Amino acid sequence: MPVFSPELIKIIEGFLNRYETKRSSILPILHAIQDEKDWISDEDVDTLEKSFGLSAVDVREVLTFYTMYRQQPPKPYRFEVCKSISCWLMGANDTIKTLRLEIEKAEKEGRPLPFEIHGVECLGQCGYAPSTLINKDRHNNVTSEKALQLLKEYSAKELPNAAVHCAAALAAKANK
Amino acid sequence: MSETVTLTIDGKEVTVPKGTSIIEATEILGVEIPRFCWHPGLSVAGVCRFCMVKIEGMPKLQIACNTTCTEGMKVITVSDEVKDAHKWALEFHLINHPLDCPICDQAGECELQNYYMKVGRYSSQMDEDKVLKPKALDVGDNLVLDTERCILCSRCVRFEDEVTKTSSLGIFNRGDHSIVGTFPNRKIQHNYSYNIVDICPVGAFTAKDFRFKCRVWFLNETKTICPGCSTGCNITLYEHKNQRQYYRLKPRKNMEVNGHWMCDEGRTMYEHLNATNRLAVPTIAGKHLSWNLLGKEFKQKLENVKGNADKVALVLTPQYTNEEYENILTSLKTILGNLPKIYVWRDSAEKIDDFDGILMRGDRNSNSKGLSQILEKHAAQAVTLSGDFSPLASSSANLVLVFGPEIEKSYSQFANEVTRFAELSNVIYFGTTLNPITKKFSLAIPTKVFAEKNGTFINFKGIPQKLKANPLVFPAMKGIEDIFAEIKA
Repeated sequence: MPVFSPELIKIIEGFLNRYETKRSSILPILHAIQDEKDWISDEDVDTLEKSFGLSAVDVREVLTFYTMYRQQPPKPYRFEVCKSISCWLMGANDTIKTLRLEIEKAEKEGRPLPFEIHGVECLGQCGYAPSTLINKDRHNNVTSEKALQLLKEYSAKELPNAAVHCAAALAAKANK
Repeated sequence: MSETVTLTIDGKEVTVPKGTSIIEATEILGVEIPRFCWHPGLSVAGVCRFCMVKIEGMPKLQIACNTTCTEGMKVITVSDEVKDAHKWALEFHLINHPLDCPICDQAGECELQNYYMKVGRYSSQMDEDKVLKPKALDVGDNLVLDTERCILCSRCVRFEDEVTKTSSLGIFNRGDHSIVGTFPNRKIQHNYSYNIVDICPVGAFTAKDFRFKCRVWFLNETKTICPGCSTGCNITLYEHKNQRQYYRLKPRKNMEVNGHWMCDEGRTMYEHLNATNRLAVPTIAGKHLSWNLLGKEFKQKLENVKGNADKVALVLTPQYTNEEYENILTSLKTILGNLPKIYVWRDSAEKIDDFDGILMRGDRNSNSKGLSQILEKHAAQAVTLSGDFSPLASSSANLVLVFGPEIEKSYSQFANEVTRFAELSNVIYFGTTLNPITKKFSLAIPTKVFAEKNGTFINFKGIPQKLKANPLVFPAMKGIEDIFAEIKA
């Protein structure tokens, strides 16, 4: 299996042409990879060096500096609850607690849910506190009840493409 | 180009070219400003915030490495304010430094340790726990990395980017979790890696071949010249103060020859100096001969061919000093009445004009230029023996004097080629390295190594450079000049 899909290669080349130096295009390229594969592996960085002439050390410096690039394979959905002041006042901590308990319970019952829970900083949606993101979808006024409902809703959906890619790549690697 | 600015540093006036930084100007004056990240051979980073100086008219202290000198600038490097800045800069550098000096190889030559003794605060106010980071990482053939000791000066990263252009080091992660490192599963594998150990101001990078071997304060320093190739890098050789044992060598700054660096190949040039690898006593037909009797035997052999200079063959290698060549040629001329036939033995696989782009040259002999100059001076015709030994064999000499190479590994076929001499009869071999083949010569005479000689090497550019002698590893040993002096007396 090739490391990058033809569409992704096109996107990367686009970014490389857009900026004056190759180094400038590291951030958007890493985002593009993460959008397709859910996380960025050492192998991906290696390929960036070999096929596109970016320095692996430069890429890794950027990759490890920013916390929102994932260097480990994540669960299909990242449930990110804002815990800054407005959301915190409106019960963000309760939401996080409820979600964690629910996921733990499901785990014990042998039906693991495809979710990771993160507390994040201000999402700029203080008027709709507590505000959350699930992957890139925004949800407003996520109280504990609404959070549980969202868990159900998303569990019933088909998995996003990036998660499918990620799982397939991991399975292929495990087989090797 | 010739534009200059004049400024005052601590009341002393100095004129420097335009664009010079304050720290470079202080170097000219001999004033030392404490620094970690600035290195004269690398670009300016300005990350350690340690080289603070007061500039009159500026509200705050400035870093000397990244501030350019301007006309009429008044710089103060010693004041209470500056001292205070140094103290606090060190306090911050030590927040996550493990202070494991008792087990650290850098202790004794550590810039962090030295500056702390000079300008440190002595009583820390930190009561947070230190951040734990990876230790004793194997990052290359010659390097071990301890990221806890690192103060993130980025000298090593800049060295990789600017000098070797391999860019294999970077600073990863963020804030107090930042670490210097290589990309996972990649190593630093080039011929200049030990320089990273030298420029590392702390013990983060340590050398595999010196690690845990000796404390630096037990070492004596001698300023001499590297014999590894025709570049002739200026080096400092470190010998134990009490034992006759060499431990390492480091480059010495000489902008005309090697700048600040030297290669890893050259760093191995201390190994053949130690007693375990050395030819210790003369042998005559395989039997030990005392140094007292050597002169008599040697003289006898030369007397036998007196007047028959054309029946004597002299084989030289380009690894002796000018003074030794001069001595050999004039002494033989006096004893034999004329110059013998001269052969120069060179490696058959060498590529003399090779150059790796930084320092190392294809000519792995320290004094090729010196040898050819001396031969020219004596109007001697020399035949080159390079893989083909038939000119020597067909000369049917009655006596062959071979001055073998000191650094045998610079001859790719040494083991093979030296037996070609052993096949001849009546061979006197001068050498330094312990080698079973020496027993086959009718007379084998140990000679001094480069670290024990005073003399001159001429490098590829024609720059003559002086060697400086250390005490002999074998105190009874006689040099070439002593032996010839004894014969002539």
